Amino acid sequence: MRLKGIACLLIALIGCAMGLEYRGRLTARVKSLIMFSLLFTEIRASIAHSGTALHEIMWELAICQPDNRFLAALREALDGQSFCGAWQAALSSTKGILCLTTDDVAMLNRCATLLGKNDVDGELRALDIIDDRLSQAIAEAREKQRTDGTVYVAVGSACGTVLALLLL
Amino acid sequence: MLKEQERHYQRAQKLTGYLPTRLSAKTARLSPAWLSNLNEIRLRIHQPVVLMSDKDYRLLGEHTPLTGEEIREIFEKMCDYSVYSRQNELSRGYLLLQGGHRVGVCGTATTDNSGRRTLRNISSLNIRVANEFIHCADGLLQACAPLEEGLLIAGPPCCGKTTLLRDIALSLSSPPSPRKVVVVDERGELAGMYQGEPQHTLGLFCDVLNGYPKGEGILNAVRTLSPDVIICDEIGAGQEIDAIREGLNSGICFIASIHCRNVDELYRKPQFQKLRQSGAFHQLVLLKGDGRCAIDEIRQVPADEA
Repeated sequence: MRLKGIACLLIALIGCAMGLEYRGRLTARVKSLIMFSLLFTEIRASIAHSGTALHEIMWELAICQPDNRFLAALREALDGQSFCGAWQAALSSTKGILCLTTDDVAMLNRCATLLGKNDVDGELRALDIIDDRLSQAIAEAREKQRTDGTVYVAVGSACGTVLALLLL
Repeated sequence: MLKEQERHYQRAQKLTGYLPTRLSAKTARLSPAWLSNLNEIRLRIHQPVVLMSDKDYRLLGEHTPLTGEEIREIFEKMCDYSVYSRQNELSRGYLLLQGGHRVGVCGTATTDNSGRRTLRNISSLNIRVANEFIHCADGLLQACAPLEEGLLIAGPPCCGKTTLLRDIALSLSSPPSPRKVVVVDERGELAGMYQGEPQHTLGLFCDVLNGYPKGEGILNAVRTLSPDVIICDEIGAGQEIDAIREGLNSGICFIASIHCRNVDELYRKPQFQKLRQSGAFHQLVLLKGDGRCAIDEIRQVPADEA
């Protein structure tokens, strides 16, 4: 009976953990989008102040942030590829780690296609557009995290409890 | 294949790498000897690619000319996919590539609120291959020795004036008897600076002022670098003459080049008259127009010659 009780408790906890895991993914998505927002802020600063080429900016950022897996993947992909191609390759290889949705990836890829094609003023305008898109995505991701996150944890816990009760 | 020819062939191959794969693959059919003499690659929208050597030319993609999209892609690739980082060069109508090659860019000029000019709708690109001919100036330096006073090199476009100046810079600034040489390289043709590194061989005692307007660069060199020799390309504007005069007072020898089709045209040029009156140039070297740095004539420039 005690063993059965422990098993049921475990099942209930697993359900709760799954809910927390899903909520964690939503949180990670928000963090990733914020990371991209900060990345574009750094790109803006470099373009406005020194006019450094995109691949050089990315190389420098990758060195400064060795834990950033996207930048590491981008740095690797930049070798012999266009910035846009490398960006897409890096995103597709890290989208799982970054917990990004298909829409996020498509939006970020569209942002990358805007860069590198204009003079400094044009780049800054393109970065304004990117900033708007990212702000919207971050707001939407935060809202999803707030609403769906709570739902996931509640549903996970409830399912776990129901399953445990059924087993009992 | 000679070592120098081999080097030129490799440079040409690297440049054809900028072309779309469908066209760059076709360069494999060209003989290495022909490619090693490549002078220019001309890319025009809706036209085949033209590869020009000293004597003739070859077409790539006669039946499938370059599209606007391909020209744009080539242009962006040349800009390292960061057009804004080449804004200064583009405002003067050119781009510098790794290897010191210069690309003339044609498109629609637009001017922003701050008066800065930019290019859009790129319609054609002209890649001028920068080949090094080390020791090509040996004959000239021997004929003009001792080079204590100024030397002016004159000739038509593409006759090798810049190549000669580059080799003079190398020879004069290298052992066994080096002189302090400053190259004032306004358009990046002499040293071919790319991301801060010279793409051509320069001597031990050679400094490069890259991107400076020539007059300003000369004054800067005179005041801060104590040169024995100042070398610059295509000289003759008013501010440059004043700077040369200041340099002369410091005992500096000037070596420069000037465009002209023949000696009569040269003597009619107001820029040449101003240079002559400055007293900075005592020897005049006229080049043949065959693109091989061949000397046609060396003559003195007397102060009263006109």
